[in-house]
Amino acid sequence: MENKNLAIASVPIQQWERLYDENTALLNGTVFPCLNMPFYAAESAAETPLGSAISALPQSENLSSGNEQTQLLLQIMTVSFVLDDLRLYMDTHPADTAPADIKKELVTKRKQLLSQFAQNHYPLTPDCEGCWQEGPMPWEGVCC
Amino acid sequence: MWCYEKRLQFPVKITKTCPKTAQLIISQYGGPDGELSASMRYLAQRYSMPVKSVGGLLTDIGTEELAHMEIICAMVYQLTKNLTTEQAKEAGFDAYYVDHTTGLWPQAAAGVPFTALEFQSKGDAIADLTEDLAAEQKARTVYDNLLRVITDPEVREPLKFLRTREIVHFQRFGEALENTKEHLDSKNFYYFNPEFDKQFLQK
Repeated sequence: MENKNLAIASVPIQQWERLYDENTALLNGTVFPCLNMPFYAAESAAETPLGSAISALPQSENLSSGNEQTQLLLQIMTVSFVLDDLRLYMDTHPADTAPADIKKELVTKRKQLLSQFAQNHYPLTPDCEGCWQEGPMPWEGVCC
Repeated sequence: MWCYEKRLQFPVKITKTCPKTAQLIISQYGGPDGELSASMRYLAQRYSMPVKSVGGLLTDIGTEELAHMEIICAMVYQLTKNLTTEQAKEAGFDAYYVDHTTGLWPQAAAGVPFTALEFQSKGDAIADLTEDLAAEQKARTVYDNLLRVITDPEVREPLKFLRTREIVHFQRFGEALENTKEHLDSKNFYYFNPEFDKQFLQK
C-alpha cells in the first residue's frame, strides 16, 4: 500500500458483476452476490443460508402462488428493491454504463406495475389513480 | 421533498404476539445505532458535503433508512398489537406499556429515549464519512446480536434483510470516501477542511 493511504480509511471500489434475479435480491437484501455476507454464527441447522431464506420466509409460498394482488405487490417490491440497490451503486459509480440499461428497463416495468396495481386494487403512490385512503396500511402485514 | 409509497421495502408478517422481542428490536427504532438515528445522521450531513455525488448518496441512503425505520416499527406493532396486560407483565414490557400502551415511541432496548446526541454532523467530510462507516458496522452488530437471541423465522427474515443493507451501505460510504479523497491533496488529506476551506478543493 502506498504512503498516500496512511492515516485514512480505505475501502476497495466494488466491480460490476452478474446480478441476482429480482426475487433472490429481495430475499437476500442485495442484488450483488459479492455483498451477500450472511451471519453464519446465528444460522440454525434448519436454516441453511441462501436457499433456506426462501423457504423460511413466511410469505415465500406466495412468490410462486398466492392471489393476483399479492403477486403483483411482491413484483412491485422486488423490482423496486433492485432499483433501490442499483441507485446506491450508481451514486458511487457514475461512470459505469452497465447499470443504466437495467435501470431503464426496470423503471418502465415498475411504472406499469404501479399503474396496474392502482387500477385493480388501490394506489401505492400519491400520483396513482384512486383514493389515497383505499387499501390497508402497509404495517398491517397485508402484503402477503 | 419526499414522496410516500404505501408499502414496506421488505414484507413483514408476524403472527405471534411477543412483547419481549418487541422490546429488543425497538432499539433499531430509537436506539443509538437505530434506523431513525441513521436517517437523521445522513440527511443532516449531506448539505455541506463538498462532493456532489456524496450528497446524493447521503440523500438516497438517508431515505432508505426511513423505509427501514418503517419496517422495524411494523415489526414492533405486529408483535404487540394483540397484547394482553398479563403478557406485558410476564415479558417485562409493562414499564413501556404504562407510558405508551402499545403505541410506537423511539427508545433503545433498555428504555433510553431517542436522542440526537447519538449521531454527529461535524461539517468535515472525512470525519462524517468515517462516522458513517462506523455507524453501519454498529448497526450490523445490533442485528447480529438480535439474530442470536430471536428464533422466530417471521422476525428473523426482515432482520437478516436489514443486516445485509448495513453491509451494502458500508461499502457505499467507503466508495464515497474514496471519491472524496480524489478531490483532496493526496500527500496530506488533512491539509484543509473540504467543507469549509472550499478554495483548496480540487475540481
